[in-house]
Amino acid sequence: MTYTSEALQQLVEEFSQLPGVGKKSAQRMALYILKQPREDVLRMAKALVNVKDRIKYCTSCSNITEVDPCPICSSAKRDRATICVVEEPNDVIALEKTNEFRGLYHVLGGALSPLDGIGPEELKVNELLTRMTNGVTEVILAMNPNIEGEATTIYLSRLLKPLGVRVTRIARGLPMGGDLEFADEATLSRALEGRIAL
Amino acid sequence: MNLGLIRLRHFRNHTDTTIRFAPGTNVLLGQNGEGKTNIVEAVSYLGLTKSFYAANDAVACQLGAESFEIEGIILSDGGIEHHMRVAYSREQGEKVCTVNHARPESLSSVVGRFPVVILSPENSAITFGGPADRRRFMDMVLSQLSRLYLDDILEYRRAIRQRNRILGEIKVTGARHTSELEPWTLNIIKYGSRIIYRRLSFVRDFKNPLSDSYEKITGAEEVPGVSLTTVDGLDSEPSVEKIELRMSEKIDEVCGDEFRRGVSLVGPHRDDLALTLNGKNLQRYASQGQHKTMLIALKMAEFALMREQRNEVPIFILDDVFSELDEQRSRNLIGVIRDCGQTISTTTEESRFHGAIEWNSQNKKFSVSNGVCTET
Repeated sequence: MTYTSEALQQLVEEFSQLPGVGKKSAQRMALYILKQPREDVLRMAKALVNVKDRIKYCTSCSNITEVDPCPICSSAKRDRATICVVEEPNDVIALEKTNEFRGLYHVLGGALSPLDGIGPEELKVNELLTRMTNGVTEVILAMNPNIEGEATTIYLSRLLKPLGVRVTRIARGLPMGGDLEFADEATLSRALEGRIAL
Repeated sequence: MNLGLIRLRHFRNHTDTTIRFAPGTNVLLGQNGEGKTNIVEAVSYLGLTKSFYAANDAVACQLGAESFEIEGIILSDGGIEHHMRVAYSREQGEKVCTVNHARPESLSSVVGRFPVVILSPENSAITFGGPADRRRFMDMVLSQLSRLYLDDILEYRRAIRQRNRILGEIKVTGARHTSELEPWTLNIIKYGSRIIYRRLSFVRDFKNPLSDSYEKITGAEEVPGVSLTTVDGLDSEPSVEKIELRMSEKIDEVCGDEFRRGVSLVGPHRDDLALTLNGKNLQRYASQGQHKTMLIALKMAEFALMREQRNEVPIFILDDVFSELDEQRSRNLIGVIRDCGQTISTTTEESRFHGAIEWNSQNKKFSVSNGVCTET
């Protein structure tokens, strides 16, 4: 593609690096930026640089934060005996929205996947183990419901159980508000597998 | 199920062809290269959203055309009429499917809604080919019967690839990351045992339809056999737990070999569907004709199993099947397909059907010539 401006071409190329953005959308976004007032564009540029400059990883839970330790780890209201282990920072955001969980988090930074070169050393596994000394009684494993998440759950439970903590995993199954008859077979059978006694 | 009408536009050598099929036996007659198989290929697009043999959609576009479109009117056994349309555009490289003029959730959710069993020369790999070809046949039938099976197969394949990556590293470096291997081992045992369990019960359900079908074609001259070659040391109807236990014992036994060779050696990815005739291995001892007969019997058994386990009678497609059969067996086969609900056959030899089928509103024959199909 040829543009009459090198600056525009550069911006299109930058935008098309973003996940889910193709050449055409990138072009639309770039032309939109061009039409915006200068101060709006500056504000946006500043926001982009800020996330790189200001955000760091919490030395305790590895979640993204601007202050170390992060607001969750330093909060006096949180229950320090329970740690919920998740794959990515967005999982923390999702769980926090529920307003149900009062414990701490631990962000692994992914799931085990030898095909992608991700082993235990690439994840924050050792950091999790060192946290087990401070009166932690329960670890909740909240991995994604896929084969990599399952392998990670098995791997971590083998490491954690000998340390004498209670290890649980989140239930998987039917979404709320959905009728049983509309659930797909795979979801239903996983829900059956994870049934609980009353 | 009943395909009442199909319309092909710019599909292979058909510019615009509309066919009104009969509810019973339909025969497409014509010389080689006139466009008979293209019509049954279009039927497979309605059932499977893809061709039963071509790997990509672009090749099915008529030369010089930008897109193709297939429409069908399907009558379910309950008497409800469905409209189905599959269209592909070369420029967008995209295939769009609508069911009753609405877009479904995904293409894969349409597969199996309109069940089709296809018997074509491409299937010969099932009897002539290797274990992988027979596993593909089994998986194809089982996934049409159970979404969960398909799900398990996909998870299992991924777990095997992950596990093999670690084994590959062990082979190269000699290091033993057994703690990293273990989660994947447990996953392949969990999913693998469920797959083996399903396959074993499939083989049990498949035995009778297979010998019935074979007998109908040959008249009890030979006895076919089918069994699953899988993890050894299992009794005839093991529970999933038993299979899990046996798989984990076997993996312990061969772990040295796995480290040395760098691949997973135990599990359903090494299964085979063993086929026999009069107790003798089919691959090694059967003639061309016997292979062909076995293939037809396998497909007829698939049809019978689908009919029994689904609420709809599938449409049975026989593409160029009659040419390699002797006179008697082909007569017998025609006798069988008369009782199979709606069938669509292609052949170059009309004589095969002389006197065997009465042509009326139930059974129709069509002649196909240079992309034009006319009822005769």
